[in-house]
Amino acid sequence: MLALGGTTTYLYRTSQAWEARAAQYEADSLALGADLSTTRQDLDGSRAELEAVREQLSTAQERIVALADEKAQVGDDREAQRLVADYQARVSDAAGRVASALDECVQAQDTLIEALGTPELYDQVALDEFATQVADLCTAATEANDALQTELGQ
Amino acid sequence: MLRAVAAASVLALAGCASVDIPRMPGPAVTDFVPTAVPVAAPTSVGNLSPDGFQEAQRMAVRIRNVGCISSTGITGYTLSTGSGFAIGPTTLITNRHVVADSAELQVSTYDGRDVSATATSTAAIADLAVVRTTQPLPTYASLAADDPALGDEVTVVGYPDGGPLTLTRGRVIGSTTDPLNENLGQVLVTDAAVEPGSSGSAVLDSAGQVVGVVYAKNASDQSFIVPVTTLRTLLEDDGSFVDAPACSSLP
Repeated sequence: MLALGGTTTYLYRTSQAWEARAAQYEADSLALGADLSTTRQDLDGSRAELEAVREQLSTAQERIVALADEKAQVGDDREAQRLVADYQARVSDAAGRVASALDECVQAQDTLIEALGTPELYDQVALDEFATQVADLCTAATEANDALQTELGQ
Repeated sequence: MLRAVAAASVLALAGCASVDIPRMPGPAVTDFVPTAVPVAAPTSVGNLSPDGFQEAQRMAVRIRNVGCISSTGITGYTLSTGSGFAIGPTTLITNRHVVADSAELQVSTYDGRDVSATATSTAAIADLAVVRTTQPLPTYASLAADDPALGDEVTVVGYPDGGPLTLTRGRVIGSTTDPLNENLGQVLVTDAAVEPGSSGSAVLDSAGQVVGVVYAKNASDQSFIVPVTTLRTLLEDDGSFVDAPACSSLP
């Protein structure tokens, strides 16, 4: 009888202890479930944010490439304009030099014609030498003009 | 004591048979979250560069060639563009014809930064050139050990028509003798579409390694590339690249 009473008491206390443990674990599992749910929601939110950031990164990269291209095109235009301006300056300078040489040629020819009109006023040797100088001057001017025309024709 | 009494009584009731005695619960588990869990392997490495751009883009450069003027100092001005790619911190590879007759080379990176070019040397037997820069380039490529095989997928990274940086895919469709320079020997043919301005573009394999350099195309829109083994051979030979001639007259 004593043993039966002891057994009953032991089993009762054991049952009580397990019941308390089960209640504790159930509370823990509910808390863990709540944490898991919150974490899943956070994960979903993070994934959505990550996807948005990826799209933003992709857009930013496309924009960077486009801006780099725009800068490159502006640079190409700038260099082309600089080259054209340099070209025009060089042509203008060359044309000026050719014009000056041709003008000198014309003036020298005028002087020569005037001298040939009154040859008795000049030494014949000096006159011939001057005529040669005028011819050389005009040949050089003509060659410079031809070279300019050839360059412009290229 | 109580448990011993209970066990003895139960044994007595059961006639010495083996019986499982309910035990009192042990210490309660309070931490259900493991400190170490298996980490899932990433399915993709993504773009893990400092700014998210692919390495293939970061190594590419755009080259503007401001040409020499004629010896008479009047005409002959030219402006052209090409592509190139870095193989070292301040070293890049392009085509010889991209840097030919140059008064000035203007190099820019994938993100539009200007990089000053200091020296240029060109190869005699292949349409290749090496350009040195003063500022460091964003990144540089590694050269593959072998040429790509027939059918291999390749990616061309460059600036077709001098426009935006572009990645174009294609496959190696064969090899042929160099149509422009018979001394070069065999070159590779791909179906990757290239345009003027693509010259000097890196040709990459699936691992992102350089397997060739674009230098020409034909009427069938096939592109010709200098194989990486040729590039390697020339780079390893000190005498294969010589200083590019300077303009006789600068603009």
